Amino acid sequence: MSLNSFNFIIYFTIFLIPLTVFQLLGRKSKVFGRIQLVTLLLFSYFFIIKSNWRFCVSVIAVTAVTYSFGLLIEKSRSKSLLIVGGIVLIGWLGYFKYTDFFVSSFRGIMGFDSITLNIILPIGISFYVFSALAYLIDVYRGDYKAERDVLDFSLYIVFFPKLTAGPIVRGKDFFSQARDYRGVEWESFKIGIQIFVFGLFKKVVLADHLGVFVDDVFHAPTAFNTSTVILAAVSYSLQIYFDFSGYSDMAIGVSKILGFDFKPNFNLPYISRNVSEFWKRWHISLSSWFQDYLYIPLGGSRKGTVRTYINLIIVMLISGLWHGAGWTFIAWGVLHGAASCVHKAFGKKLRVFEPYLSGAVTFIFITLCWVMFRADSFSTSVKVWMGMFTIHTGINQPYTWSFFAIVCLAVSTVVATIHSKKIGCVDKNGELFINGYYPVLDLSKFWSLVAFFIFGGLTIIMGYFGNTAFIYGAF
Amino acid sequence: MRRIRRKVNMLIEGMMKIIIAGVVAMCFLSLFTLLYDYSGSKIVDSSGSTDVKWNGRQFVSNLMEGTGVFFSDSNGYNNAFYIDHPEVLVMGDSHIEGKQVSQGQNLVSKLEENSGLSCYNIGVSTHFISVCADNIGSALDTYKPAKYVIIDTYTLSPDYDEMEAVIKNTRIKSQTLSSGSILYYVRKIPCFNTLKYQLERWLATGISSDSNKDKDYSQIDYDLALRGILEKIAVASDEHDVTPIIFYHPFERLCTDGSVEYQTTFEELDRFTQICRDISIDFVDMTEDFKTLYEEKYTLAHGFSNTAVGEGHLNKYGHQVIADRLSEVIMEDQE
Repeated sequence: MSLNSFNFIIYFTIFLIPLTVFQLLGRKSKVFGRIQLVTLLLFSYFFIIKSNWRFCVSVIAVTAVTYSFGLLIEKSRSKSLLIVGGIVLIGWLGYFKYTDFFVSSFRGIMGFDSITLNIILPIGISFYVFSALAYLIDVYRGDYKAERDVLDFSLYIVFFPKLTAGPIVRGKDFFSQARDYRGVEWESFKIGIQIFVFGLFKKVVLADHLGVFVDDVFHAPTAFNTSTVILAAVSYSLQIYFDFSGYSDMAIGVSKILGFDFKPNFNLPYISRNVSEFWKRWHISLSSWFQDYLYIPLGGSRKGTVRTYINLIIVMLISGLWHGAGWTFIAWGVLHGAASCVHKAFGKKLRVFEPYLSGAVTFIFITLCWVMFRADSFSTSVKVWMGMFTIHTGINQPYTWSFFAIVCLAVSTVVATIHSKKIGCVDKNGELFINGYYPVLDLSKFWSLVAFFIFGGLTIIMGYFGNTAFIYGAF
Repeated sequence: MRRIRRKVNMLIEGMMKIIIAGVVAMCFLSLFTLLYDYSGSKIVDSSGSTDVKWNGRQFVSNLMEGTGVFFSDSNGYNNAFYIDHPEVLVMGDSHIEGKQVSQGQNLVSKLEENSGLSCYNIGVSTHFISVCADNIGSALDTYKPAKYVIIDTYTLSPDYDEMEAVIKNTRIKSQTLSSGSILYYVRKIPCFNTLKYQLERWLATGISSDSNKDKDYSQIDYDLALRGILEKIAVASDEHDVTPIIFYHPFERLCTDGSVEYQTTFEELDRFTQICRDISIDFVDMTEDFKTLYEEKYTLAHGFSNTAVGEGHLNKYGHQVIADRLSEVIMEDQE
């Protein structure tokens, strides 16, 4: 069951009924708050079972291991226990995600025929294992106490809106909200449903339509002419953004309805002036995870220039591997790492080109890297790159949804720029920092309600409803 | 008590606000849908030439797949105007109905341009070859074409059950809503049909259709049924002294190496061609023409700039190349 499926909407609506009843029965009662959390936990498992009941085993195992290690680590403050706990979790993730890749790569190197073990990847495993790892490290560092409440902890791992594709929520942000659970409130509902529909629009109207075109071109890149291949590469950049940020918005919106506040996971990544900024705006919860739990522990930029570059490459390589078990993902990560090094080395000298030229170069670089991310092999990537950089004839497909998506992105960027100027949003250097935001209306006003209904209606009317899974759901 | 009453009043007020806002939003959405995707309600065709048709002078718009904005003729079909006794009658499914292209670019307009003959289009969505075979007698009675009747097919293996129903005269005609029902009028609200259609598609997401249902007929039964419906076309044409032409426009599929594949199998093509030859139906296979179109112009006959490449309905190039080929066939025949 996916957040953009009609089934989810139906089940979620039904599920909201008991939650609302409990809320009305005991708004200030702690007992009803706990009952609501139990209901949330049950629905989260129902959400997994609707995909495949076997996936529950993985979630329960990760929950049990992390909960136990959390308590043990807090008690002993032992680094060895943290390492053992970390190895168990990474080993669990690695078994499901990388066994096939390593076995086939090893067999390839040794000259044997390639075989596939067909290990099914449990839904959301990369996300909840990373949440679990973050929890163990935070407990070891003493950032907060190990969670003793089994219910709160289980919900932290399995909470369904963030299960499939994040955001990767930190324990301290989650437990405090679970402890003082406010339940389903009308005010949060009004905001949450708007954020959800906003995400749904990004997913079904923009990303899924773009996916149709991108799939065609990446299936047979040599069949299309130069401009079409370029448009397809740009379209994929937009597709993956709208798909993933759409999912994040839907997850944040559903969480908000259920009484949990999560931070935005994207902040207009394509206006970035360099790759480092891109990673501060793209999949923010993962980037900050890597920064806090990998880059800084490796020494960050404190141990000299060469070590900084090595750390950047290591982080981005692991980021690539996290995204998918394949050489194309590893190469994608290394390229991003190399670009981060270049920015680190020459960033100050290149500031003369800011913001437009550096923004354009960054977008082109990211788009070229996405080609490798999307392609099923290096050879397909090369074909697409060749298609982009050589003038040749072929099918001309000026895909209208691509232009529509570009217009949507441009308009939202302009609106965000005006908004950021208006509220005086600046970075640490005192320069304007453009922040995206949710255009949330006050639904108690008549015309706001009309506007919301129109937007919801347009989302359904213009949506593409095929069998389209979330791209990041596969990771 | 007063507090409860106040809360109830607030609740009613809130509900009223939501309902009125919903109605106002529907008005705005209808304005949008009027251009984006609108074709009103269809009515039963009392002549039996087709199961259903549009109302006369029905406004039709479609930006969902291709681009087509036009009014139907006074008789409820996609023509610029009604022709009483055309020289060529064109029957068929949604490809012939041609909602995806402008009226001047559809097959019938192009055929008229190329051949100089008066052509009349009675293509209606879901009127596949078996349905046309069922309706052809009434259609020829009604429109009395002087020279040709042309029928399209996108498949050489039509659905067996539908063919059998036609042969046994048990086919249930497409239904429309009666003009007395509330739904008939609700469906006139422009956004209603699109919302309904989209919600149905959304609901069906993830549900796989049972396309591999077991065959409960033999190959001989199938061949007989196919011959049966084609004979119906041949007999009706013969009775009305017109030449029947069936043209086949196969779907295309892009291969990873950049070439294009067609779904036609040799056995299907051979069987269909053989039957048509036996019963004096002119059969036109567009496969080679589509191949040439792709090889010379990198253009596919199906698909649009707002849909998947090569998928869906015939585009303006597809209509044009079919019209070119059919006019050649007609000219050769007349010579």
